Amino acid sequence: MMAVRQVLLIAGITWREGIRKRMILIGFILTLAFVGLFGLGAYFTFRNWQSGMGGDVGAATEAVGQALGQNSVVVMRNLAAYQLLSFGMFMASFLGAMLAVFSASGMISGDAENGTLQTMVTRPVSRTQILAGRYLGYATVYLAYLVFLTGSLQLLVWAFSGYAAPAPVEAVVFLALQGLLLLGLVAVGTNLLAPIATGILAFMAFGLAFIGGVVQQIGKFIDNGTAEKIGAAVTYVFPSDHFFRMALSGLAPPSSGGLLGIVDQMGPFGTPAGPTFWSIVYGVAYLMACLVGAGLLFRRKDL
Amino acid sequence: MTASTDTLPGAAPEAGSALVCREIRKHYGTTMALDGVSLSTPRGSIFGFLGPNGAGKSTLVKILVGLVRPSAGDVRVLGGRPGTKLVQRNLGYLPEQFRFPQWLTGRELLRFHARLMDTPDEATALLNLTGIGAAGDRRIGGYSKGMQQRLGLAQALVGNPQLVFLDEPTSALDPLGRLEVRDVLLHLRGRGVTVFLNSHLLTEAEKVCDAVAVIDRGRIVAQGPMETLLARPEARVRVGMLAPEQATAFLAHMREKLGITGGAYEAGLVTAPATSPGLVPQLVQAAVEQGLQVYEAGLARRSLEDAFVQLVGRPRPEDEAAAYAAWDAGA
Repeated sequence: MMAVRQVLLIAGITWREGIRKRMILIGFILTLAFVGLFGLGAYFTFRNWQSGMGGDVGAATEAVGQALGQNSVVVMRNLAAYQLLSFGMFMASFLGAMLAVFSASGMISGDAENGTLQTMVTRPVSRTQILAGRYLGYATVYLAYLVFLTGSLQLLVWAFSGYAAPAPVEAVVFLALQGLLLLGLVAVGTNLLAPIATGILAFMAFGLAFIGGVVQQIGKFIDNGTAEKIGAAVTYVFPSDHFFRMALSGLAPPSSGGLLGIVDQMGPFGTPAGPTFWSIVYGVAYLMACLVGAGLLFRRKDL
Repeated sequence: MTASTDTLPGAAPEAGSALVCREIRKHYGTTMALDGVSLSTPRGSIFGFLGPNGAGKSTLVKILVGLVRPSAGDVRVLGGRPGTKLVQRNLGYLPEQFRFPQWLTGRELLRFHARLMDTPDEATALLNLTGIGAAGDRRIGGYSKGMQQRLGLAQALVGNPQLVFLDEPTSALDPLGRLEVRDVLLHLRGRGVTVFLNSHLLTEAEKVCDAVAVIDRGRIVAQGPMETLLARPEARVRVGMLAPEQATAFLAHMREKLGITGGAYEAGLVTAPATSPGLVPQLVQAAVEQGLQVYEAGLARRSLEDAFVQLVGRPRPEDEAAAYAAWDAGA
């Protein structure tokens, strides 16, 4: 019990740091601005959806309706809602990754460099507890941010378009796993590298995995096996994109099939090569390996 | 649980020692920071660990508090291995590069450490003890360097440790602050606490330490009670300025009469190794016999600084003069 209390104590210090250094305040204000703009976009997009749309969207809706013989107003609305939502989720994933990586990149090396870690380590607290506390602190800050941001985006889209994603909670959970994985990589990096180098490592890994995911999806979409395999291989080097695509598939409308089904899958946020159960298991195992590795490195680290 | 003052289990073989290390080595790559260091610190004493910059002082302290793993050798601190909870529960440590989260207040920092130690909060008492009681509720970011060092000392005393490691605890303090820290150290000793004091401030160490070890280039070059290190007193007689031949003649007379070897004359002062306290009057008598005027006479103990210079002093580089000349010439 004592051990858990000390972990929580150290995690609490991370929160206090975030509040005192105004990181949380600034992040909150700017995120509010982002959410506000997103809401404005959603409002204008869906304002006239039911009562006859003008311009290209109106024409396209009519054309689709004639071609498929479906109630194309709702189908197209869902499609637009998903496009907006997937873009919002990408931004949430990106901003969340920035927050996670840059707030935590000095988790060990930064505190060791500036000398605030040494006195903590000489207390009757194991290094595993210290690392767990630090990780938990950053992870909970990240989770609070992510839940607020993705929750707001989903609510706004739902409120203005009426489109409710099929698996909203799962989407947030998978996006959260992406951030936790990044923090896991940061925990490893911070034992070996200076804060800036750790930040660059983690952020580049995140970017690479995303591009790998895009290449994989495009490969699948155009049925190019080589591109798909190369992209997939990259996403296994650092599997953050598995979680991102899983989150997206929880938001996408059930595939309308045919022509519209193709439209669903287009663009950088499409998921034609949807993540599998095992790719998620791999991602979770990767996170566990990062945490265990970080713990072992920290236990042996000279401070 | 509060910090216990009982002897830790396993301490029996070195019951009189707060810590013992044997043949500690530490290398960073090809650099040997510690090269077979063995020492022991008597319980309840103030132990001075002295040495020039870069000699390995801080590295050894970091090994003793569990921050750094030795490459080889055996360490026992309070009867246990450094870094284990049982040992850490009874330790206090003020690092040389003391720095604390700037966004906490002094009081919050001490509370945080008390909670890590699972001991009652004594922040007010410790802040007052170290002279920063009035600043306790201000953010550390607004503290002066000296105040931060005082806070570091207060932090090292959280939880009533049995053993306190202080790495250059007065480096940022003014002379009055140093006196206050000295009082704190003496008070700790009075409470039976062992203080391991890393310092290169020799006059300070000389005033408070019961025992010392001197380290140079990663090796212990002297170790023992302060009196042992400072023994070998000298008889000193001030006789005024002498011509060189006069001085030589007097030293020869002195050696013959007193039956000693050694002794020297420099700038009006005759010194001779004092083999017994009675040597001083004999030396005065010898001087008077030679018709010299005696202004002052006495027995002087070798200072810690003398001992230190003798132990670790190195000849200054031969090209020192050339280096200065080049600098002056703007090269």
